[in-house]
Amino acid sequence: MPLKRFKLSPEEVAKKVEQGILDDSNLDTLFESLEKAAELAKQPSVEEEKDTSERCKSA
Amino acid sequence: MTQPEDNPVIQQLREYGLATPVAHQIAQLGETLRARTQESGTEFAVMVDADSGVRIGDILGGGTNQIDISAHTGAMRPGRRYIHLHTHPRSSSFSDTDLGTMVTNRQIHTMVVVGADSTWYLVARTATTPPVLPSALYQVWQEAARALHPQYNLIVTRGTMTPGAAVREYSHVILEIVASQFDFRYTRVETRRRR
Repeated sequence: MPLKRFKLSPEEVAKKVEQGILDDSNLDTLFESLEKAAELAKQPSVEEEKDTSERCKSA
Repeated sequence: MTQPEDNPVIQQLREYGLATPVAHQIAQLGETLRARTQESGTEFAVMVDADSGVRIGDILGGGTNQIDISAHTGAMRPGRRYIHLHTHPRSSSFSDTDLGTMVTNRQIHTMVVVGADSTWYLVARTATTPPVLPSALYQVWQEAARALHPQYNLIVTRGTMTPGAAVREYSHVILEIVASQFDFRYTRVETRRRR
Protein backbone atom coordinates (compact mmCIF):
# COMPACT_ATOMS: atom_id res chain seq x y z
CA MET A 1 0.00 0.00 0.00
CA PRO A 2 1.71 3.23 -1.11
CA LEU A 3 1.94 6.30 1.09
CA LYS A 4 -0.61 8.54 -0.61
CA ARG A 5 -0.31 11.95 1.00
CA PHE A 6 0.93 13.56 4.15
CA LYS A 7 -1.42 15.37 6.51
CA LEU A 8 0.73 18.49 6.15
CA SER A 9 2.15 19.66 2.82
CA PRO A 10 5.59 21.33 2.87
CA GLU A 11 3.76 24.71 2.76
CA GLU A 12 1.63 23.77 5.77
CA VAL A 13 4.73 22.57 7.61
CA ALA A 14 6.34 25.97 6.97
CA LYS A 15 3.25 27.71 8.34
CA LYS A 16 3.28 25.63 11.54
CA VAL A 17 6.97 26.43 12.04
CA GLU A 18 6.26 30.13 11.53
CA GLN A 19 3.51 29.92 14.18
CA GLY A 20 5.89 28.24 16.65
CA ILE A 21 4.02 24.93 16.61
CA LEU A 22 5.81 21.60 16.70
CA ASP A 23 3.30 19.45 14.86
CA ASP A 24 3.78 15.71 14.47
CA SER A 25 0.92 15.19 12.01
CA ASN A 26 3.25 13.83 9.35
CA LEU A 27 4.62 11.28 11.81
CA ASP A 28 0.98 10.35 12.45
CA THR A 29 0.58 9.81 8.70
CA LEU A 30 3.34 7.18 8.85
CA PHE A 31 1.88 5.51 11.95
CA GLU A 32 -1.68 5.40 10.63
CA SER A 33 -0.54 4.00 7.30
CA LEU A 34 1.42 1.19 8.98
CA GLU A 35 -1.43 0.51 11.39
CA LYS A 36 -3.81 0.12 8.45
CA ALA A 37 -1.37 -2.20 6.65
CA ALA A 38 -1.10 -4.37 9.77
CA GLU A 39 -4.91 -4.54 10.09
CA LEU A 40 -5.32 -5.51 6.43
CA ALA A 41 -2.67 -8.20 6.81
CA LYS A 42 -4.66 -9.76 9.66
CA GLN A 43 -7.85 -9.99 7.59
CA PRO A 44 -8.31 -13.26 5.68
CA SER A 45 -7.85 -12.91 1.95
CA VAL A 46 -10.76 -13.54 -0.48
CA GLU A 47 -9.18 -16.91 -1.41
CA GLU A 48 -8.91 -17.92 2.24
CA GLU A 49 -12.52 -16.90 2.88
CA LYS A 50 -13.70 -18.90 -0.16
CA ASP A 51 -11.69 -21.89 0.95
CA THR A 52 -13.15 -21.74 4.48
CA SER A 53 -16.66 -21.32 3.13
CA GLU A 54 -16.27 -24.36 0.83
CA ARG A 55 -14.91 -26.46 3.67
CA CYS A 56 -17.89 -25.47 5.81
CA LYS A 57 -20.29 -26.49 3.03
CA SER A 58 -18.65 -29.88 2.57
CA ALA A 59 -18.70 -30.47 6.32
CA MET B 1 24.13 2.17 40.80
CA THR B 2 24.68 4.13 37.58
CA GLN B 3 26.99 7.08 38.08
CA PRO B 4 26.10 10.29 36.19
CA GLU B 5 29.31 9.84 34.18
CA ASP B 6 27.94 6.49 32.96
CA ASN B 7 24.66 8.06 31.83
CA PRO B 8 24.75 7.81 28.01
CA VAL B 9 22.45 10.85 27.66
CA ILE B 10 24.82 13.05 29.67
CA GLN B 11 27.76 11.68 27.71
CA GLN B 12 26.08 12.56 24.42
CA LEU B 13 25.01 16.01 25.58
CA ARG B 14 28.62 16.69 26.53
CA GLU B 15 29.72 15.53 23.09
CA TYR B 16 27.28 18.04 21.63
CA GLY B 17 29.34 20.74 23.35
CA LEU B 18 27.43 21.26 26.59
CA ALA B 19 29.14 21.78 29.92
CA THR B 20 28.64 18.95 32.41
CA PRO B 21 26.27 20.87 34.75
CA VAL B 22 24.10 21.87 31.77
CA ALA B 23 24.08 18.29 30.49
CA HIS B 24 22.93 17.11 33.94
CA GLN B 25 20.22 19.77 34.00
CA ILE B 26 18.91 18.69 30.57
CA ALA B 27 19.02 15.01 31.52
CA GLN B 28 16.99 15.69 34.67
CA LEU B 29 14.45 17.90 32.92
CA GLY B 30 14.10 15.36 30.12
CA GLU B 31 13.38 12.55 32.55
CA THR B 32 10.84 14.68 34.45
CA LEU B 33 8.98 15.59 31.26
CA ARG B 34 9.21 12.03 29.93
CA ALA B 35 7.45 10.77 33.07
CA ARG B 36 4.73 13.40 32.62
CA THR B 37 4.28 12.36 29.00
CA GLN B 38 4.09 8.70 29.90
CA GLU B 39 1.36 9.50 32.41
CA SER B 40 -0.67 11.94 30.29
CA GLY B 41 0.05 10.80 26.72
CA THR B 42 0.74 14.43 25.75
CA GLU B 43 3.81 16.48 24.80
CA PHE B 44 5.81 18.79 27.09
CA ALA B 45 8.58 21.24 26.19
CA VAL B 46 11.31 23.17 27.96
CA MET B 47 14.07 25.51 26.85
CA VAL B 48 17.41 26.02 28.56
CA ASP B 49 20.24 28.49 27.95
CA ALA B 50 23.01 26.27 26.54
CA ASP B 51 25.78 28.11 28.37
CA SER B 52 24.30 29.01 31.74
CA GLY B 53 21.87 26.11 32.11
CA VAL B 54 19.16 28.58 33.16
CA ARG B 55 15.66 27.54 32.18
CA ILE B 56 14.01 30.11 29.91
CA GLY B 57 10.26 30.52 30.31
CA ASP B 58 7.84 27.92 31.56
CA ILE B 59 7.54 24.22 30.95
CA LEU B 60 4.90 24.09 28.23
CA GLY B 61 2.24 21.43 27.78
CA GLY B 62 0.66 20.43 24.49
CA GLY B 63 -1.54 17.79 22.95
CA THR B 64 -0.97 14.22 21.82
CA ASN B 65 0.78 15.24 18.61
CA GLN B 66 1.60 18.92 18.83
CA ILE B 67 2.83 21.66 21.09
CA ASP B 68 2.93 25.43 20.77
CA ILE B 69 6.44 26.61 21.69
CA SER B 70 6.06 30.21 20.51
CA ALA B 71 6.55 31.36 24.13
CA HIS B 72 10.02 29.78 23.98
CA THR B 73 11.07 31.01 20.56
CA GLY B 74 9.77 34.49 21.46
CA ALA B 75 11.94 34.53 24.60
CA MET B 76 15.22 33.89 22.74
CA ARG B 77 17.76 36.69 23.04
CA PRO B 78 20.36 37.66 20.43
CA GLY B 79 23.81 36.33 21.17
CA ARG B 80 22.57 33.44 23.31
CA ARG B 81 22.27 29.78 22.32
CA TYR B 82 19.62 27.41 23.57
CA ILE B 83 18.75 23.77 24.03
CA HIS B 84 15.17 23.02 23.15
CA LEU B 85 13.70 19.76 24.46
CA HIS B 86 10.26 18.27 23.98
CA THR B 87 8.66 14.87 24.40
CA HIS B 88 7.01 12.46 21.98
CA PRO B 89 4.30 10.14 23.36
CA ARG B 90 4.91 7.64 20.55
CA SER B 91 8.69 7.77 21.07
CA SER B 92 9.41 8.54 17.43
CA SER B 93 12.25 10.74 16.21
CA PHE B 94 11.99 14.36 14.99
CA SER B 95 9.11 15.47 12.78
CA ASP B 96 9.57 17.82 9.84
CA THR B 97 8.26 20.74 11.93
CA ASP B 98 10.77 19.92 14.70
CA LEU B 99 13.66 20.18 12.24
CA GLY B 100 12.18 23.25 10.60
CA THR B 101 12.02 24.96 13.98
CA MET B 102 15.70 24.27 14.55
CA VAL B 103 16.83 25.60 11.19
CA THR B 104 14.66 28.72 11.30
CA ASN B 105 15.72 29.62 14.85
CA ARG B 106 19.50 29.89 14.54
CA GLN B 107 19.87 30.29 18.31
CA ILE B 108 18.71 26.73 18.90
CA HIS B 109 22.04 25.02 19.40
CA THR B 110 20.65 21.52 19.94
CA MET B 111 17.15 20.15 19.65
CA VAL B 112 16.22 17.19 21.83
CA VAL B 113 13.27 14.82 21.72
CA VAL B 114 12.64 12.42 24.58
CA GLY B 115 10.34 9.49 23.87
CA ALA B 116 7.92 8.17 26.45
CA ASP B 117 9.88 4.89 26.22
CA SER B 118 13.12 6.69 27.33
CA THR B 119 14.66 6.90 23.88
CA TRP B 120 16.47 10.22 23.41
CA TYR B 121 17.11 11.88 20.05
CA LEU B 122 19.51 14.80 19.57
CA VAL B 123 20.07 16.93 16.50
CA ALA B 124 22.26 19.98 15.91
CA ARG B 125 23.94 21.93 13.19
CA THR B 126 27.70 21.44 12.94
CA ALA B 127 30.46 23.88 12.05
CA THR B 128 30.27 22.62 8.48
CA THR B 129 26.46 22.67 8.10
CA PRO B 130 25.65 24.99 5.21
CA PRO B 131 22.64 27.35 5.42
CA VAL B 132 19.53 25.20 5.08
CA LEU B 133 16.49 26.22 3.10
CA PRO B 134 13.54 25.00 5.23
CA SER B 135 11.47 24.10 2.15
CA ALA B 136 14.29 21.82 0.94
CA LEU B 137 14.38 20.19 4.35
CA TYR B 138 10.63 19.43 4.34
CA GLN B 139 10.94 18.04 0.84
CA VAL B 140 13.79 15.70 1.78
CA TRP B 141 12.00 14.52 4.96
CA GLN B 142 8.87 13.64 2.96
CA GLU B 143 10.81 12.06 0.08
CA ALA B 144 12.76 9.87 2.53
CA ALA B 145 9.49 8.85 4.20
CA ARG B 146 7.98 7.88 0.84
CA ALA B 147 11.08 5.96 -0.25
CA LEU B 148 11.22 3.94 2.98
CA HIS B 149 7.50 3.26 3.21
CA PRO B 150 7.37 -0.04 1.23
CA GLN B 151 10.08 -1.50 3.48
CA TYR B 152 8.24 -0.66 6.72
CA ASN B 153 4.90 -1.62 5.22
CA LEU B 154 6.32 -5.08 4.57
CA ILE B 155 7.76 -5.29 8.09
CA VAL B 156 4.36 -4.70 9.71
CA THR B 157 2.51 -6.84 7.17
CA ARG B 158 4.78 -9.77 8.02
CA GLY B 159 4.30 -9.09 11.70
CA THR B 160 8.02 -8.55 12.29
CA MET B 161 7.27 -5.32 14.17
CA THR B 162 4.17 -3.66 15.55
CA PRO B 163 3.18 -0.40 13.79
CA GLY B 164 4.39 1.52 16.86
CA ALA B 165 7.82 -0.12 16.90
CA ALA B 166 8.11 0.21 13.12
CA VAL B 167 7.34 3.92 13.11
CA ARG B 168 9.99 4.54 15.78
CA GLU B 169 12.61 2.87 13.60
CA TYR B 170 11.18 4.39 10.40
CA SER B 171 11.34 7.95 11.78
CA HIS B 172 14.91 7.34 12.99
CA VAL B 173 16.05 6.19 9.54
CA ILE B 174 14.36 9.23 7.94
CA LEU B 175 16.41 11.40 10.30
CA GLU B 176 19.62 9.60 9.41
CA ILE B 177 18.95 10.38 5.74
CA VAL B 178 18.03 14.03 6.40
CA ALA B 179 20.99 14.55 8.75
CA SER B 180 23.38 13.07 6.22
CA GLN B 181 22.01 15.24 3.42
CA PHE B 182 22.15 18.53 5.38
CA ASP B 183 25.25 17.73 7.45
CA PHE B 184 23.48 17.78 10.81
CA ARG B 185 24.79 15.91 13.79
CA TYR B 186 22.15 13.38 14.82
CA THR B 187 22.13 10.76 17.57
CA ARG B 188 19.67 8.30 19.04
CA VAL B 189 20.29 7.19 22.62
CA GLU B 190 18.35 4.19 23.88
CA THR B 191 18.51 4.24 27.65
CA ARG B 192 16.17 1.36 28.31
CA ARG B 193 16.18 -2.09 26.79
CA ARG B 194 13.12 -2.57 24.59
CA ARG B 195 10.72 -5.35 25.47
